[in-house]
Amino acid sequence: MFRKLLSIIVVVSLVAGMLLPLTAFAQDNATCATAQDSYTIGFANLTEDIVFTQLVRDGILSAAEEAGNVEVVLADNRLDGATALANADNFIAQGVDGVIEFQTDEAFGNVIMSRFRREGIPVIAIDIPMPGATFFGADNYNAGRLAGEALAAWVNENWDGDVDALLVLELPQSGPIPAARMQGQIEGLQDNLTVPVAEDMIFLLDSKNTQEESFQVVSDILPTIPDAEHIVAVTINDGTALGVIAAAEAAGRADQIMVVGQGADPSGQEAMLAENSRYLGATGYFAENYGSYLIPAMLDLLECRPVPPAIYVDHVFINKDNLCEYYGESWPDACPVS
Amino acid sequence: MTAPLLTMQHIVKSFYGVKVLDDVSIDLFAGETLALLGENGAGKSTLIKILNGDYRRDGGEILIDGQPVNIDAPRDAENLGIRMIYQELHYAPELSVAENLLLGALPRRGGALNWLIDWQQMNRQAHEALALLNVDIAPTTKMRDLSVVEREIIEIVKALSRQARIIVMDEPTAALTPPEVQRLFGIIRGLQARGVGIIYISHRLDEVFEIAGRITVLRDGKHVGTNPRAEVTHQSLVQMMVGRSIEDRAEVRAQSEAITPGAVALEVRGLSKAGAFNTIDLQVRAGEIVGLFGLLGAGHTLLTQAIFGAIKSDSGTILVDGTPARIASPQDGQRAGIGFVPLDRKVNGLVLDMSVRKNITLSNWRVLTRFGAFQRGLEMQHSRNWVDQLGIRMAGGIETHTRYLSGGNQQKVVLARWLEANVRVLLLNEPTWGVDVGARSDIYDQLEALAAQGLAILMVSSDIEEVLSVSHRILTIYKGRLTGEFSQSDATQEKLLHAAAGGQS
Amino acid sequence: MNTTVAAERSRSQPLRLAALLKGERLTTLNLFATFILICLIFASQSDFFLTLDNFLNVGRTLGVVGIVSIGMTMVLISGGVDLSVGSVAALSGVVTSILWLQADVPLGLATVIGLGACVLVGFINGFFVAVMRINPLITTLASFSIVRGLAFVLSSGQTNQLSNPAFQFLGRGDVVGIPASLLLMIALFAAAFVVMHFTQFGRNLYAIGGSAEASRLAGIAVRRHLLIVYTLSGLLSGLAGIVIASQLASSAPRAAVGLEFTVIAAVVLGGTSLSGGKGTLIGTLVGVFILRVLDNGLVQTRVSSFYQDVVSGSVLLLAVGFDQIRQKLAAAVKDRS
Repeated sequence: MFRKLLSIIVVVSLVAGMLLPLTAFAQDNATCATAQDSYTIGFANLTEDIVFTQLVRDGILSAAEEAGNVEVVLADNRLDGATALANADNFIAQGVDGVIEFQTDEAFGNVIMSRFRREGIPVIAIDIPMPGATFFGADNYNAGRLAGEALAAWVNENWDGDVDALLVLELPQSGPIPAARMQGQIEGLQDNLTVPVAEDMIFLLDSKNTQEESFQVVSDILPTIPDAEHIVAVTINDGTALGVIAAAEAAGRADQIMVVGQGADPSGQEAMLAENSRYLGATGYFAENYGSYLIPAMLDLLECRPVPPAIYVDHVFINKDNLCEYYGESWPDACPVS
Repeated sequence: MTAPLLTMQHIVKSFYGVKVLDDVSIDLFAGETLALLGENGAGKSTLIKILNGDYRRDGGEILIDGQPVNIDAPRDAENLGIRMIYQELHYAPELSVAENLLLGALPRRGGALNWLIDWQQMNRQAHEALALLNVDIAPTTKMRDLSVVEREIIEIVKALSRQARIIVMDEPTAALTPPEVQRLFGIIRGLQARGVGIIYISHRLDEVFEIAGRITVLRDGKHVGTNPRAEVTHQSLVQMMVGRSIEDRAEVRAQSEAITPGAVALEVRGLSKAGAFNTIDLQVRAGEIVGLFGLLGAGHTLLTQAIFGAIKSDSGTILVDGTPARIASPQDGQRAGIGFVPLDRKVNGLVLDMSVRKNITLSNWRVLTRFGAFQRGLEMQHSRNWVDQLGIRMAGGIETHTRYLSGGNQQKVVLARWLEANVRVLLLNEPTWGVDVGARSDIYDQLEALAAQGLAILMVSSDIEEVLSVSHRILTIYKGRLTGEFSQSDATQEKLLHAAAGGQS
Repeated sequence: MNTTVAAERSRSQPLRLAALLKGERLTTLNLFATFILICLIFASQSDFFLTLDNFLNVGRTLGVVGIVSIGMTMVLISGGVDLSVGSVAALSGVVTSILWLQADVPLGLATVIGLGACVLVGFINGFFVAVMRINPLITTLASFSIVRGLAFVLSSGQTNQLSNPAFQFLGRGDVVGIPASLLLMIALFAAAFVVMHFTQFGRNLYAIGGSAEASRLAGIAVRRHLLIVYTLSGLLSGLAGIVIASQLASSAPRAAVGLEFTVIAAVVLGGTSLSGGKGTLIGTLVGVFILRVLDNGLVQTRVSSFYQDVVSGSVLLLAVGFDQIRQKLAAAVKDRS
């Protein structure tokens, strides 16, 4: 009995001892080392050349404005590890309080992180994990799954669940992230089709991440499946998806194909809206919303509030039916006349 | 008498069933210079390449000091002390004389620093090597700062410093001025005194007479004869080389005498270019060959380039057929009716990897095209016409690339191009450099024939015999100024050299 | 006298052998044989390779590389190189789409202006190479980068849809069953062939590539020729860019990335020398076919894309290497005569 009581006391006091400082930190800013009235946050973008990252940047800037007490310092990593490192040093020199890193080179991740760690600067890494940084980004497998499931639903409804061939426009040279997207799409499709596609009718094609290459390989593969009347394609991004559709159109087989993709960027959105479109839709990554996750998360870090080690974007499969809801401003035509 | 340093006996060599060397024997004694003469294709270079191990002989033997030796690769020749000095030298232009001399065997420092070069030691060794032949060049000079002859001399010193016993020189004077030739000969005499045997290949007979003890002539792969210098004459050698007799041009000219130049075709008034030539006035009449003689760098080459438009002049006027011509580019020159045969025909005169036909029609095509497209038949007809008229000889027909033509035939292709372009005036630079004796005389015949047809020819040459025997009139140039004018009858070697060296006539 | 003639005749034998060995016709013939061989191999591996559908597909996807390779062949023959072709191709699509979509310029006119921009880039390339005498590799490496950057700036990195049936005809349409882009390419090849082999302009390009100085001293306006040839390369690259945009019904600043490598590979495969003065359009045409059919066949036989790169590279190396050996042999034969 005594032993039991003793152990309860020990446990309770241990738990209290652990919780006490935590609550104290959370409640009292004065004891949080990094807490201030206003903050300077560095954002090193992946590149300034592509729409996706431009949207990320704009989202961060407007979220910072909304927060009111955050100033953002911008840098461009130019898809290059060495540039990212130089930018990191620059941030440190400018005395930033926290950093949002969007950089591609995992090898440089360690070096960059060791600099920030030495200075005690908290870091959030976008899409490509860095050791010791809070991860923020796409949930690639599940994003892929959403598209695969949507495609399967369409096939079940329109083609009685019958698919003759599955084209997979992948990007093998870019490692695990695109691979997870593709795996999600394939499994989402296969798990939900009435009759899964036979293994030997799944064509793995290298899109090389360009619309032309995707056009080319699909053009090359179509003559080998002359009898296929129901062809579906899952793709790494909107551009590759459009290449697939262009190839099918050029070969006069547009009505035999249905395509889903990843990204739902403006060019993809436009394609979904086209009359009799063969682009069913794409999983949205909402680059423009990244800022509204990133800035509050960074403020939590700086003000010593608990933050989970990984934060994921809430993905939605965008098609012509919900385009108005998410991107109504860009596509007034997509909205029902009220 | 001791055994010869080198004996090549009954050498036979065939390529694809064609005999290029047929029972050729030569011998070479220590301290001797043996000249090897023959037209292009006579077999000189094949013989030399066999000696150097580049080719294997099909028959015959090679003896050194009377002992049979095997030379199967260039390395064997090197081990036996055989060295080649080629026309085109290979050296590192940015490195010093000493570095080039000792390349591959640079002296190192001792001890722990033995991976560092011992510069002092290197320069000392180089200096010693240069002193062997009394060469006065500082070991620290960069190769690119040396003149052509000095580079050749360095090459010879290098050969000697690597225990050369036999040195083969292939046309070593092709790019040298007369004083430079004398400097080279001094070095060769030094080599002779040290007991080195020298095989000397040249087209220039006067040089051969000066330096060689004995002269071997090859023709069509056969040994025609080997004679001591004293037993042959200029004419007999030429006869041995070409297999027929060539008359003395000057004599023929003296007999004919009947040239009557026409109107002034080219007139240059006060042409100047800073640092090149100054207020040049000259005239060339239709039907006249004017020789322009000067030492290297006197400005004559630049002058012809300026007349043609290849370089810009500062001031002065050029008139063709009495009409002032504005010449600022080669196209202007060509349009004005001027043709230009440059100094180095291989680099500047011809497109080497183009056929004879295409090279001939390169400058004039308007008459050969209809609605902008070539009329192939007409083009063929025109180029064949020139091939026949100038006697251009090539083994593979008119579609042979000019790269594969002999020097003389290459030069004729350049001439043919300008004739096809219908020029009134022809500017020639050293028209027979690297051209063998037979073809040389052929080119002179052509030039005379062209002049007789009314072409005005201005010929730059540093070959005094050529100038004397071909020109109707001779101008001399020194440091960018004309220093003398001679009619063919009163020009002599002495007068020309005097005027070209700056002495007033 | 008799002996001289005999010697002359016998000496010419190795020369004929040399001429035969180094003939350009042989290069093209070898190449054609290689092409047939590749086709036979794929035909035995895939039931669909020799189908009409696949012929049309190959024809349709040949145009872009084919059109650009015409200009590249001419540039290489003149002794230069043009690395900017891919960037220029992207530029024409971007300029055309921006004008059409954002400035409401009629599509036909927008296309003409898009091509005009490429002509201008080509002209500037030519100006720096011919007049400023800057190494073509450096000049076009710079424009490669500048023009690609411009394409991104002008489009803000966006891909634009260009759906217009008339515009898409070029990339997707047929004329009596033959893809329009293939017809365009063949017409351009034919025109270029006439220019290169029957006009003085073409002849002069060979001469300039063989020796620019000798050509200048022969009275050829070297600068004007180079200016024209780079401008032409710009125009053809732009045209290829329009074909891409028409095929994909969209324009992207990332279009035609790496096109320069494919094109140079095809041209060199066709026997054109990187050092200038040598090459034929027929050879280039066969080179273009070989590379395209190689990709097509490897995709159809479901070879991994990584191996596709390995195979294309190896074919290039083997073909060019074999040709080099043959020419060395010819030179050796010649040397010994």
